[in-house]
Amino acid sequence: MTFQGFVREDGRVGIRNHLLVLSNSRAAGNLASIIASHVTSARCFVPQSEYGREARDRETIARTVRGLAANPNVGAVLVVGVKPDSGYPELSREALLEPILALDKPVDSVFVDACGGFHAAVGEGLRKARILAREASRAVRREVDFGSLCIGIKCGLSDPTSGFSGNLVAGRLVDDLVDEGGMAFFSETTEVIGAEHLAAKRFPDLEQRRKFLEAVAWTEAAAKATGQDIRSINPVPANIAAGITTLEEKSLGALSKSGSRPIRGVLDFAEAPPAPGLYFVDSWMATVSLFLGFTAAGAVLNIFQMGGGWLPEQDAMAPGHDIGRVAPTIYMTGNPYTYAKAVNDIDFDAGGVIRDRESVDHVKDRLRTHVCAVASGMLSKVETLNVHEQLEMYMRGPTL
Amino acid sequence: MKHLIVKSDHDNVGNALEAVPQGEVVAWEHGTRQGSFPAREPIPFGFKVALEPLSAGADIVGYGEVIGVATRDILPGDLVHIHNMAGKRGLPGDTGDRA
Repeated sequence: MTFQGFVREDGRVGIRNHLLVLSNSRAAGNLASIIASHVTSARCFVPQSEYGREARDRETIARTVRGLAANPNVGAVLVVGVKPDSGYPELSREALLEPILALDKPVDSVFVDACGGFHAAVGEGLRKARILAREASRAVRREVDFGSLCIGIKCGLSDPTSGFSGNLVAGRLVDDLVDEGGMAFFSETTEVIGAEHLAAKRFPDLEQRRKFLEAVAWTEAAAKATGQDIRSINPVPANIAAGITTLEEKSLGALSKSGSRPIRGVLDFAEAPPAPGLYFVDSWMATVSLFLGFTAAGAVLNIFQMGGGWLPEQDAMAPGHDIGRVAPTIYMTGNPYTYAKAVNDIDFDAGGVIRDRESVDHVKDRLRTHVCAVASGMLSKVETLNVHEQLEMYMRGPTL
Repeated sequence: MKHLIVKSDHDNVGNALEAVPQGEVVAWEHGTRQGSFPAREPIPFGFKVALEPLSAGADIVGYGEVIGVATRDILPGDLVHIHNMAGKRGLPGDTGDRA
């Protein structure tokens, strides 16, 4: 099965062709959003503030910004800032700006101090962004294999159907992708607790297996260190109201979205993998964070596999729309009631597994067809909403 | 009659594939195992039902894995949820074994 994608200079394949207006620090967020909001095809990303963050977290911010710029869905980049160098070494001109300007795609930059002030920078930025938008638009789609995709996958609003319906379908899709040379990410370290022994067996590399178990242990220790009952934190109240009882149960259901293939390694938030295959990302599960991390690591498409038993009864709006910023999100559910409740936002109904006793493989084949359509340019349902979600990176250190 | 899905050989709970009114018979099968009994209380869609008697302190098994413990005696056809079951992991006093 093939789709129509944008083959970039480095050989990676994009499924969208955005101009990305990128702020090199939180301080230039207004400048970035003013420019982006007036230019066709532009998306805007403003990182969270680096101030008071320790070095590891500042590096995460820089890695995320660089990673979004490098994403194959980005056809051109305009970097904006107050100055080319924000002061911290991780966000310096050399560490942040220069790698982006060296990307093999149309790139440019605008800085307030070099333009003679904020209003001048708005004008200059607008002029440059319009040129970049036209340059990016020259890219044409051509036929590529399904296995050239890089997909991030997350489950959410989990309910019992996640574990015996939707996540199984998603997992089979991941198996297909990995078998055909593609790349896939899954994550949510807290929600591995109770299933880590099963996931650990799938790491052929013993060093990576150790890293995985350490990540899970770190997260579990952090949960205990709060002194609070983890049942008051995760499973979240929405999971419990829908029929999930314990963290172990949630984790076992969640793991099935990763399919069954070997897990090549453990990645940090927004860390690009070294080679194709399936990777575990050691990260926070929040929707407004995880897809950003996947996308900065190279995902061109994200799949949100929803239980959704907790959703309101009618026209429930799926949470998070612009959550991959430059990569579209496909919402799916294995809960037939959820699909009926949120048909305006959920793209794919995997509820046939329950409703019609349809085989998981058969539903997976339908999902694959749908993924290829969206990869070829069809807008996902949530992609039709032109909103600007506030996204958050996974910060691990204290704020000082 | 309504149906439960049982996900693995050693599971002692199944999930309701549709909402079950109290008293209605639920049936399940997995491999060579099967059973049926009346629901002892209303079971919402997707929620867990005990397949066999479980004493307080017994492991609850789903996906072929321990997903928690019974916190009181449970009978076949009982709803299994936070009122009669608790997790074992991530708790302040937890010293459980790790793979």
